[in-house]
This record gives sequence, C-alpha cells and structure tokens, in this order.
Amino acid sequence: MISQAVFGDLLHGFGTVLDPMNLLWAVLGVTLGMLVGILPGIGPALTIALLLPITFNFSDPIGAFIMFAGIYYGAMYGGSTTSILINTPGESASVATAIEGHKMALRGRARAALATAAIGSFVAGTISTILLTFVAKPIGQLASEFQATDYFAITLLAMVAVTAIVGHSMVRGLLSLTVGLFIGLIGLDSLSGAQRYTFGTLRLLDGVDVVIVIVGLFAIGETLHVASKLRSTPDRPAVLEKGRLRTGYLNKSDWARSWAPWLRGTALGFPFGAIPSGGAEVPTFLSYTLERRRARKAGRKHPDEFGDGAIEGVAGPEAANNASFSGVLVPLLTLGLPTSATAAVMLAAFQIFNVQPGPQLFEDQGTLVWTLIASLYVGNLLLLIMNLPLIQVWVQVLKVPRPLLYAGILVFACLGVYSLSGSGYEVLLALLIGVVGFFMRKLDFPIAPVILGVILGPTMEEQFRRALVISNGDASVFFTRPLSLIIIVLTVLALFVPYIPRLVARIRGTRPTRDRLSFGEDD
Amino acid sequence: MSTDERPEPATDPAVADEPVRTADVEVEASRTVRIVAAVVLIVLSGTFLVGVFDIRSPDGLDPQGPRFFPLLVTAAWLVLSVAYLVEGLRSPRTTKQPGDRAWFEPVAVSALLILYAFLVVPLGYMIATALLFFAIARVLGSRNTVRDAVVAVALAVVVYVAFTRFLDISLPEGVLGL
Repeated sequence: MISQAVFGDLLHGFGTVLDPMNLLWAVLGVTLGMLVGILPGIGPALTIALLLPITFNFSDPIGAFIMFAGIYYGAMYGGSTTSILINTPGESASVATAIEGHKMALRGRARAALATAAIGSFVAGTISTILLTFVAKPIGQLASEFQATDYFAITLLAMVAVTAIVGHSMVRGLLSLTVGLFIGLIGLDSLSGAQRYTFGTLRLLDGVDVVIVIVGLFAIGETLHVASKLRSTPDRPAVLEKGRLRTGYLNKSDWARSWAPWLRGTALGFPFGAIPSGGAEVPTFLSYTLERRRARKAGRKHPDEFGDGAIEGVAGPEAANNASFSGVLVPLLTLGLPTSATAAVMLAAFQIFNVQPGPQLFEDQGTLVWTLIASLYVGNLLLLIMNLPLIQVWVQVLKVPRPLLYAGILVFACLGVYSLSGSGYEVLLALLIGVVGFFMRKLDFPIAPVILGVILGPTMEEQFRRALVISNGDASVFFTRPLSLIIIVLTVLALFVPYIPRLVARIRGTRPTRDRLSFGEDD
Repeated sequence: MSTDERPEPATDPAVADEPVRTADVEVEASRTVRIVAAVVLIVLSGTFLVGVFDIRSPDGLDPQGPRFFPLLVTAAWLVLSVAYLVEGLRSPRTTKQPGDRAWFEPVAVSALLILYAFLVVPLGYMIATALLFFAIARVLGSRNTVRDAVVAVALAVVVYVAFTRFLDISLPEGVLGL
C-alpha cells in the first residue's frame, strides 16, 4: 500500500545527499553542531541561530539544509555529552539525561552512559525518520485541504499549547507570548501597508528579524545572565578523568536494560514532537518518569538505581529527545508550523532562503524536502560513527574556560546579527532584546513563547484577516467549520493541561507534588 | 581537573563570605524588582495600546484592518501585566537578591557591545572584534592576559578571513584595509 513513489523520492534524496560536496556539508554540519552543542549552556536553538550566518552565502538551499540537519543532530548529541560529563544541560530536554547520566559518570560508568545515549539516539533518530518519511507526504496532502480559518486555529493552538506547557507560570508565559506577538507587529502591515510601531524610523519598516530576536534573547540575554552570576556560582564541576572514561562500552546487561527504553522513548518522542507541545521537553520527562515507574513496579535487580545512575534513565529520555525532532519536522514541513523554539529557528532559516514550508512544499521543493529527510538518516549515522570512538576528542571542548566561552558566544552573536544586515544598528537592537532577555531570565519568564509569537503572530493575523475577508466579516466562520472548531476547542483545553495533576490529586484526595505540571524551556 | 582561573573573590569580601549556592538553582528576583517590572510592563503596554490609534487605517478598528490585531495584543498585554503586578504585590517579602555586585558584569558587557556597534565600521572587524573579545573575557573574570590576547586576535583573524574569503560575507575592513 505504501506508494513506491516515496521510495523513489527518498532514493532520489539519498542520491543528492551522497554527492561528495553535499556529504561534506553534512559532515561539516554535524561537526560544527557537536562542537557548539557540547559547550555548556548552549542548546540546539542557539547553536543553529549562531551558525546561521555561515549559510547566508549558500546560493542553493539544499546544501544549507543538509548542514542544518547535521547541526541540529550534532547539537543534540553534544547536549547529552555535556549533561553526562559535567551535569550542565544546555536545554531542558537534556535534564533527565543529566540526572541519571551524570550519576553514572560519577560512578565510573561515563562510557556506558555516553554509549547508551548515542546508540539510543541513533536508534530513535532512524526509526522516527522512517516514520517521518511515510507520514509527511500524506499529512501534507491532508493539509492542502486547510483553509484560512484552520490555519488561524492551528497557529493559535501551537502558540497557546507551547506557552501553557513550558515555564512555571501561566501569566508570565502569556506575557512572554504577547511581547513576542508585539515584536511581530512591528513594521509594515503585509495586507494594508500601514506602518505599525515603526516609531518613525525607516529601519523598522521591515520589522524585526527573527534571527535578531533569537540571538538577542538566547545568546546575549544568556551571556548577560551568566555574567551576573559568575561570581556567585561555584566552580564548574570537574571534567571526568581520562582513565575513568575507559571502562568500555555497553556490556551485556546494559544492552538488555537499554533496548526497551530506547523503543519506548521513540514511541513517546515522535508523536509528542509532532503535536504542539514545546518539542522535546514533555516526551523526555514522560520517558524518564515511565522508566522509573517501570523499574519500581517490576522490582527488578536495579530498582533503586534511579536517582543514582540508572541506565534506563539515560536510554529512554535520549531516545525520546531524538525521536521528537523528526516529529517536530512533521508540522514544520507540512504546515509551516513550528512547535518548539528550535523549530522556530529552523523556520527562520527556511525563510531566509525564500522556502515556505507548508502543504505545497512537497510539490514545489520536492528535491529539497527529500534531500533534507535523506540527510537525517545520514546525519544520524555520521554522529554514531563520530561519537563512540571520538568522545575523548569532544571532551576537550568542555575544558574551554567560561569567560572565553561567553566572550566567544558574543562575538559570534554579533557576527550573525551584523552579517544579516551589515549595520551596527542591528547589533544595538539585538543588545536591547538581550537586555530584555536578561530581565526575563531574572524574573523567570519563559523565552520560547516570545520566539513563537514573533514567528507565528504575523501568519496568524494574516490567516485571521483572510478568513474574515472571505466570509465578508462574519466571525462565525471560526466556529462553523468543524476542523477549525475542533482545533479551537483543543486550544482552550491546552490552557488547562498544566492544572491536570492538581485536579487529579484533588479527585484522589492526595496532595499534589507540585502546583503545576511544568517544564523548562530552550528546547 | 579544575578550571584554571576564577574571578577574584578577594576583591569582594561580602561575596566571598557567602556560602556557595547550589549550582543552577535560580535565585528568584525580589518582590521589589518584580513590582518594578510589572509597572514597566503596564506603562509599555499602555503606551502601545494608545499607539494603536497612530496606525493609519481607513476602516477604524475593523477586524479586517491593520489596527485590530495590535489592539488585541496590546490590550491582552496590559491585562496580563496587571495580573502580574497583583501576583507581585501578593508575594512574600522574604526572597533575597544576590549581591549588588551582580549588576556590574551585565552592565559592563552591555556597554562594551554598544561601543562595538559604533566602532566596528571605523576600526574594522578584526580590530574591533579582538578588542571586544579581550575586554569581555576580562570583565567575565579571565586573568590570563597573554592567553586572552592570543585567543582574541586569532579568533578575530580566523573569523574575518573565513567569512570574507571563503563565505563571501563582507565585513568592515577598517583601518587595516585588508
């Protein structure tokens, strides 16, 4: 039943990726992603944003996207290495890994932790890329039925769901979202040409580039935040000694304990990535909780290892983390809908190349999409090859002193912003946004909703107004079309998701462990 | 192994005497800071809400026109800011701020970036970037002068050459005229 066309398309994609030049971009992307991603405190979103300028000169988007895929995978692998070895996850999706993986490393099992993370990521990445291969095109065709009201509803769902789930407070999350939406308003209105919030300066007519917002919030804001704490934070945890790392890869029992969590993690990661839920946070935490619960229930040989370095607690979440990325690509490629901060950065990258993800993407840019998908297979394999034997090399990167590390991040942030526009003015704008980001961190406001607001706000408004124009101003169109109505109802439900644990606890008559179900951010 | 240098705690005895905080536990901002932030948010959103009327539109506040969405966004922003203010006013006063020295580094880094934005064209990318890197590394507590200078110059040169020669992205030449 599966059409042969998919195999044909994919084979064609492989043909393009395996072209020596493109393969070189893949290797370069994977290496750069790993190099930057392994640096403490830097997640995939920032990695891609910092490395974007490198691709500005690519005349052909295919090479650029092969590199992006590599950068993304590299950054994710790098993140797990950092978590395991020095317990500073650059992104919240690595937090679960950091909990168990670092404990394993402290017990002299760093090699096993790194290996189960790497092999698990490979297994999950490959399975979920296979799923993506077969799911993307049909969903894209389904999405071509979408009308303006559906688009409006689904962008609303993505923004609200991510805002509700990420972060610790609904008020602060929604405030972040409105600030992002506001930044998205700046510039010429695309439909009427009216100037909005340009404050009388020509420079703001084109609006604020999303790359500037991302670099400002993530890179500059983060550096200012770190700068304010350098004196009061304790010394960086020591990198593990060389000798300790040579305790071998996975032994028989490790394999036996890892394979099932890998598969369960994949099963959680892919669908959760595909729905608007903030990307990798939810599935990684769910996977961690699931493995822990299973270990307790089964009363196996190692029930008490959780919290003390259980290999299942690394295998499951890492698989979920990687699988969710391919999941995130489903709405991104078929609807043009980013469901996490990283996906938003990817979308910005697409737009730089004038490629508009959406239902038509598979028709208009078939070669590009299939090459991108093929490059996921390749990138995954490259990382496995590079990771297991070369881990000693990557560990050296962890030893970069922090002052130099953050000075370097700022240099690259400025470079990215400058090469985008060729003017110092944008550097100042990025700094202004960075200062906002600094205060957002101090006051515990989530960052991801800002990015989603900037990037999805204009689309949402456009679809909203288009729907109204089609209906002659009749607002009931949003509620009379069943698909739109369902999505809007889901949006409202999403607002209540964070309160579910409390409700469940109340019904059961027990006290909730935490007020809200919440996760960190920066996926 | 341990990292080779740390900011000098001796220069600031108050900080040095403090017990080491648990890594990566966020220090909640004090009640005052939160209230100030809420007031700033209210003022900003209020101004922007009024600014909706600066947007020229023949259709007034018609939902299809360019004013409706800004109105919605800024109004929501204002309402949420008020909610945040209420949250702040109801919070307990016990939370403690980190030492006031914590403001020095972010302010210094920001100042350096502003300077950089103005100097990058006249001085040229390489010189401005090398200076920026060196200065920020110092502000952030690095004390290894020779190493910092070498890394700063090497980084600036490599980035400049890589981007202008291999990637065709133009960066300011400045006084060196390379």
